[in-house]
Amino acid sequence: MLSFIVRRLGQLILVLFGMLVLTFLVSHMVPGDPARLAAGLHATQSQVEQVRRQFGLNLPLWAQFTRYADGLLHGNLGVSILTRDPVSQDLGAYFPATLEITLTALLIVLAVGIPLGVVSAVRRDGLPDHFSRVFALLGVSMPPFWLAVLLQEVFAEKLGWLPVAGMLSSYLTPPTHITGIYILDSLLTGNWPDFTSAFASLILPSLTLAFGSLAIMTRMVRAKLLDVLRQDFIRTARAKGVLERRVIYRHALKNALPPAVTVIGLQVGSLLQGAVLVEAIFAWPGVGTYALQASEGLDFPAILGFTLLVSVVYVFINTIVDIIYAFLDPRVSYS
Amino acid sequence: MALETKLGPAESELGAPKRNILRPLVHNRLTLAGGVLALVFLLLALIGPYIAPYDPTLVDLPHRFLGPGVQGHVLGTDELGRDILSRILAGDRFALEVAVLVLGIALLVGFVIGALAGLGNRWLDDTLMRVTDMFLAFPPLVLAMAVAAALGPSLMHAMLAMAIVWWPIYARLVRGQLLILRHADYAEAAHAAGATRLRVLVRHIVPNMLDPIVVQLTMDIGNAILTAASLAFVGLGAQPPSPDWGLMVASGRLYALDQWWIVTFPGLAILLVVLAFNLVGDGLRDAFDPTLQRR
Repeated sequence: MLSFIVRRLGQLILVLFGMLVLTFLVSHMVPGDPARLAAGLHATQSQVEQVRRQFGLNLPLWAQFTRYADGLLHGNLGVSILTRDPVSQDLGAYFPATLEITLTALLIVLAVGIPLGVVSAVRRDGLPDHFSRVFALLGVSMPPFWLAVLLQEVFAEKLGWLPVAGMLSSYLTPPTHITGIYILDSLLTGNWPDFTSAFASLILPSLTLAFGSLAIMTRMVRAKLLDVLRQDFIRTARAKGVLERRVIYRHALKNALPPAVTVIGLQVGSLLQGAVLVEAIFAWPGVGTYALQASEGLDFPAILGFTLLVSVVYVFINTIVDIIYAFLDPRVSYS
Repeated sequence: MALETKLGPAESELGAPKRNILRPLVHNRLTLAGGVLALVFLLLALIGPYIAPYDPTLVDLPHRFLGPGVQGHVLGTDELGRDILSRILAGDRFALEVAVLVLGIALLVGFVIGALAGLGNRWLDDTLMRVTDMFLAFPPLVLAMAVAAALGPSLMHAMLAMAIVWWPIYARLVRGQLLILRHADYAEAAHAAGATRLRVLVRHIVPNMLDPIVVQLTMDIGNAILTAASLAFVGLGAQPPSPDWGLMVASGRLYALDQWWIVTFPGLAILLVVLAFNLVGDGLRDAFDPTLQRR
């Protein structure tokens, strides 16, 4: 087991190194001369050369790479061209908002997906099953940006029940900064108006984000539960007169959920990148919005920082899920 | 050599049995519906320009914001007075062209790398697969965004980014299939009967590894259309005035409250085309897999 974890972490380091190389290469695909760009329009040739030496752009590619990697290891992601702040500081400021919708969406996926999957497995080919099938098909085919626009149109513009965009009503002051997650901070400080506003603002973005993953989760739980329900120990449990409820919740579901852990891990990753799109539509001040602004302004350090941040979180989650799964299911081979 | 020629006709009988893949496809009503829908989209991509009632790029400001059915505009007109039906028809061809190009490049690169890994020695296999893993480890939309953003927003760069994201899936698939099929009984039998390695590969292994690739390609057409539309929507893909469905939704957003049709119909087109190819892909997977029980 220990050697499995060590090897899995070894792979993680390899993948992270690969990401570093890849993002570095992407940043060097940039057309044009970055030194001239950084020095400004009216710089003389000698000034451009000075900037080139300052940023190490005159060095051979491998030397530039070691400089870049060394900076990263010291937490230095460079300075954003647009905000003129260190990228790491910017990302730190924007990330809690992304975490807020991603975690809320995950909560929806789990709280709705698991029961819905159970119901459609238990009432197989019944009305709930057909409903969940249609729902799953829609979930994987629905363009998230379109769903977002439709939800805004109906629930915000037409009915006026929920805010169109943003994280907090504009006439409220944000709660005292504790975690940076508004809904948590307002709850912790007992700021009721902020809490209700943050909650209402959260509904549409997190529903949009959850929709696709919810469909996948439901189908996964259903398929795994059906597999388990066919097995001998379930028949034994039923034969000895265990209540059907108990058979399903205590015996079957307990065995059907571990495989679902893998799906949850994958879904966290896809929620995180889906957040980029959703943030853009709901004017949600997270890292996705930051990255899109950066890409419009050709702000490469910011884009690279964002790509690295999301990728690293994504890879870490997948590694953790693999290890949890190995714990949960003793049949997984560690070799 | 003589032996091989003599075995020629028998060889084809020894191969995988011919299956009627159409039967299970027609059997499942959802798959059938998806198939019909996918065919309609393919057909419209071919004949769309000839049946489109208007020029999809024709700006006609006096007739902007016309509702569906008004003055012969079946699905209405957009903020520049362009006919939405004509733009959706043009967008169909546009979206399918982008998907086919991206997947074609991804398949080509993936096939070559997967084949090298699957047929090469252990060292080559390990190296290529680690590289593939690295690409797979990236969240695809984010990688596509980074590439598109670094190179500057354009359709070309978005397509390049998508191909970079997509090839590892095919490399994995091709390598996996090669490793399994290389030791399949019929491949070893053909080899024992005197067929050369190349002949075994081309005649026996490659035809049998196509099934999962076709399934993956079918599903990916929908995904590629969705990704391209998403990139266009956030401004990193196709640029105006391309008849891209994602762009149409993006520009229609501003008028969504009163002119709902501008944003609704292109989105619906994306939903339907992705749904259609997903259904066909699902059905094909079931049809190709004789061991799969109907659940």
